[in-house]
Amino acid sequence: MSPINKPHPTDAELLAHLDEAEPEVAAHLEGCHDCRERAERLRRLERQLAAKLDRADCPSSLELGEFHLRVLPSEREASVARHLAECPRCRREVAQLVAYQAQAPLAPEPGLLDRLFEGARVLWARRVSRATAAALAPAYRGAEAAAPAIYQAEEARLIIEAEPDPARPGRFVVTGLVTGAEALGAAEVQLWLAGEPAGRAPVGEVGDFALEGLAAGSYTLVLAAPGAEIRVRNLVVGA
Amino acid sequence: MAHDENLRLLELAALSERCARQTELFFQRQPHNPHYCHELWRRAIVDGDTRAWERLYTQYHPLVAGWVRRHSAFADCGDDIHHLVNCAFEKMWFALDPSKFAQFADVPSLLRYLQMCVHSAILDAVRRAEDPAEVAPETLSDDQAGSAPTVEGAVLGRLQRQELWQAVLARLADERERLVVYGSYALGLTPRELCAEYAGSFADVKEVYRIKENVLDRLRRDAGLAHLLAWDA
Repeated sequence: MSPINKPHPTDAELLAHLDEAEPEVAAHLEGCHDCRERAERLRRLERQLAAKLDRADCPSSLELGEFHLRVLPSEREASVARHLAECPRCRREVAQLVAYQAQAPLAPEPGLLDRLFEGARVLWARRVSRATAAALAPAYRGAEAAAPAIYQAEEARLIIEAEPDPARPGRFVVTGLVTGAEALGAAEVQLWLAGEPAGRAPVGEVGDFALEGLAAGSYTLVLAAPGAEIRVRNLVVGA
Repeated sequence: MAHDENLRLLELAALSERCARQTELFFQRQPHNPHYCHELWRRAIVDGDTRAWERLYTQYHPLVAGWVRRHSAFADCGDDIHHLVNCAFEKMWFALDPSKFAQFADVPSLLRYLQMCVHSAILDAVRRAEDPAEVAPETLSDDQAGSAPTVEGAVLGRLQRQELWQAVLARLADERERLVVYGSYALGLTPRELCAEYAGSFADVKEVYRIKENVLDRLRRDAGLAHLLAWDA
């Protein structure tokens, strides 16, 4: 009896053949156009159901995380627990989260700290040289001005100068110019002394800033913009 | 109490700077004061202060980027670090509201949540890569095809699938049919895996195929589902 003369396979047999090739069904399909079309329709139907129902009832990854951290609202907690009991994929994802949080410390290893900061939006500026007076914009170029210091952080360059405050004896004025930081957007400059705020000023349209009435000391200067900060450590004023 | 009031009076810039200093001490495993950072988080989440969120983003970006790098699925998920960092912050922004914030008594618990958001962002990328609709993009509508994944888009897609699943569920006769359809199409299990996962529910693999046959025949003939599923079979 040739395969074509055998009874047509049922849909269940065709479905089994689509998953794991059944030699008898394969032989029948070779000679039966109708069954080949039926098998193809079933294949498309299964593929469409899988595409449209994939993980249809699974909680979001965030809900699974909140379940693990026990911060999920109570009305959802029981529902997610029931789901986990019958969903191996979600159980695997929660197990991954447990393992991940067990091996990833909240604080980075000390050795990684510098590398982490390098790739981040908190940029530490390096002092590269002292500027010549000619490097400054005319408004900041005084006849007797000492050479200012230049700091660099990626494309951004800060030229900073500290001088005695002519209006207040014993106090100082810090003036500066920022270039190459346009992409950071509107910024302000802050000065910090021993962890306390010592002054702040907006950065002007041409990148200029000035802070007056400062005591002598070693400051941290922060150029703060919406998406990033550039920090200058040990900015000595009044030395 | 007085301490809290003093913290709330601090200007944002001052608070942010102190949080940054304390975080550096925390990173260096030195004694530190966590109250400044907790207040910054409180302003961002409870007060909805977007400038405080910007400061937190700047403050914790390097830490979060480090967490992304350490995740075992990061290398294969196909998304870059900065996108995943942004997704993690975006998830936290959407998920935490003032009432939920009360559950976070300290900074480590907030950071643990942010770290969970990193895992969630990476899992979303993995889920997209494994999604049969991504593997067979012809099943997507024009609106979905080629659009960049967003938190809102993911929520919308999940809601559509849940709606469809409820419609299919209403047409199933019993628990065994539900397990077959759910296991086969929502979880991607083969009938053999179905028998193993739900041991005791089916006599053998052939029974799973018979149930599949019945259900597929019923679903294919259902006019209401034909509209929802847009069959081309």
